[in-house]
Amino acid sequence: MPLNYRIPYLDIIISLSLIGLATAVLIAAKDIPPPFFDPIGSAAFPKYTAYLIIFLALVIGIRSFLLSRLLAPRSKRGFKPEPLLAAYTVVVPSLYVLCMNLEWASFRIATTLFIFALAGLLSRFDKRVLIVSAIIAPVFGFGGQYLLTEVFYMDLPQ
Amino acid sequence: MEALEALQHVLSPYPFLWIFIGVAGGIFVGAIPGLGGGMLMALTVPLTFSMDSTNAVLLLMGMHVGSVSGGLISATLLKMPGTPSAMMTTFDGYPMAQQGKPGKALSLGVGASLFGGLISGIFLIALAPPLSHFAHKFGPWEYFTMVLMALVLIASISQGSLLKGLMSAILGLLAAMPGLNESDGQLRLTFGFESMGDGFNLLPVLLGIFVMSQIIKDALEINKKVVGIKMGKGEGIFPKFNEWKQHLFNIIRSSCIGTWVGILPGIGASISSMVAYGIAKTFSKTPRRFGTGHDEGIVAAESANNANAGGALIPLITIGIPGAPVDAILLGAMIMHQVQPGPLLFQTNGDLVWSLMIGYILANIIMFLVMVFCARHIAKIVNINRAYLIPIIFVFCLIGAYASTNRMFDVWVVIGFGLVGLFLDRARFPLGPFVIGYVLAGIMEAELRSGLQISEGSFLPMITRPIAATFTIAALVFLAYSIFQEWRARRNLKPPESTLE
Repeated sequence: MPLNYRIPYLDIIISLSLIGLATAVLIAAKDIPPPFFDPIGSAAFPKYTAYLIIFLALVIGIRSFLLSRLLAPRSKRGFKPEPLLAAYTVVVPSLYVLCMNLEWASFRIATTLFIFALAGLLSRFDKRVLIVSAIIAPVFGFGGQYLLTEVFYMDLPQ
Repeated sequence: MEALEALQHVLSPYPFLWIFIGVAGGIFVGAIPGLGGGMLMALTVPLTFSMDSTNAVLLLMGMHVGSVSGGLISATLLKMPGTPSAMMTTFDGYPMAQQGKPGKALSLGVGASLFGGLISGIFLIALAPPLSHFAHKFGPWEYFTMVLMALVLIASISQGSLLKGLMSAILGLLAAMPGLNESDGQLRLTFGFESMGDGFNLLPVLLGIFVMSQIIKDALEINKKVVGIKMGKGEGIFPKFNEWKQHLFNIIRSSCIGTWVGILPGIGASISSMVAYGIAKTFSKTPRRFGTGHDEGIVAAESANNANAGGALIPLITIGIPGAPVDAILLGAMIMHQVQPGPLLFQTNGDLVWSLMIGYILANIIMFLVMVFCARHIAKIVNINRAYLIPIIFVFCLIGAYASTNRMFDVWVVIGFGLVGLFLDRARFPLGPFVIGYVLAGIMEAELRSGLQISEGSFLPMITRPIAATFTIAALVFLAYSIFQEWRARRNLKPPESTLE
């Protein structure tokens, strides 16, 4: 089997991020008042959890680096991954939520536009998908609002 | 007597209809690769807020049963397990379908699923009441050590490395900590944000981890194309009596394995089917035929993964510990409906718990009928274009997260945890321990603090109280065994020194 020097960068990045998160938790835990009726109080659990996270993150990070030579070669996927489309599924929903959060659009309008836009982007503006989503989008936007508020008595962002 | 009343209840029109809708929806979603029972259940929970709690639980349980079985369709015809639990079915189901016998492969799987479900249903009814009675003896230390054992167990058995499993479980614990601590009313880890005062609610976290991360992954893999095997006209799925008779021992053995693995806290159906498949192969007269379209492989995998669903309900009902990540959603839904699973459930909500157990058996029978009559049609539509599905699923996420508290903050939590889930998944951190850790964090901390109050700050009861000591020792043994196994696996992986130079 040929040598493989692949370094698992994601493991190392995640380990470092987790150490950062645990440090933030330790700092925030300092503000929690001391226990007043039980031996450990509210700060103990977050503190010891943060210590454990730091310990495990160090072990994972160091081990990933040391064992990088032993990693099996990357298996071929048989399809081309689409990181840009994956980014759209984070960015477009975030804009959709932001629109309603800032009260720029009601649920009906925002949902109709969101479904049409994201379906179009994910299909790379395939005509058939655009036509079908132009029908589906208002059904979910306007019909969905009616069904959820009038039948299921749920609150929706206005 | 209670069982008969429950039977009468689940056979009445509304509960029966909800179980039917749950099972049918579960089969459909379970058959679509990339979606799953967990996603469907998490999206459905908010729709149940206005429902009667028993009907809501029956609907969600039906979805669970349906989705485990629905995975069989895509595993057999597309070589893509609709749900992770159907992974082992692809090894023999797809080759058999390729050999021109897709109907036989599905019929074996459907029959085995039915028996697996029924056998675990019998275990559920037989074991849950006495175990619940036994759990009355549990005090804070017993609960704390049991949760500890569950976390170690799920972290060590989850796919991937033990360290990553443990880290995932601990991150789940951490995610449950911000906000108001119920033990003493202290606010903590809010980082100065007012919205963090209520912490991260259960439903948005589940939607983020189970659903949002999956739809981002689906978009990333949108080019993944599958070529399905079509079933011939007139090819039946109804299992033949001779086949059932021939595989009876395998079915019973695999169902018992599935139920037992399900009872162990925190372990999912995929492990059940792996263990049952491995044992079936070991004891088979024709082990070399496994993986080439062998009847025994399909039967073992399918009876075990369906039996797991029933087994996993046992710890959920009796001690309030989810038997699998999907059961964490059922647990969350019960809590949202003011039903607290645990030893007192038989006393406080006896009608609900008996309906759940009898309903589970009925759900398996409905699953069998739906699969026999509709699997052929479901198989035609499982390859839905993701461009339609992804936006619609997100709209349901938004509705689910917002409806529980009317806060847009919770919708942002869905997106945030979706990204967390995606990165963890890409780095091969199992997500099951995260969810279980999140769900059990509250119990773990509250019980530890109560225990320490009673013992005046001493941890000794962990080893001096017999039941707690058993759980502590079990946790240590699982941990030590997992470390040993991982060390052995790594040693075997090392290439010869000469190749390293």
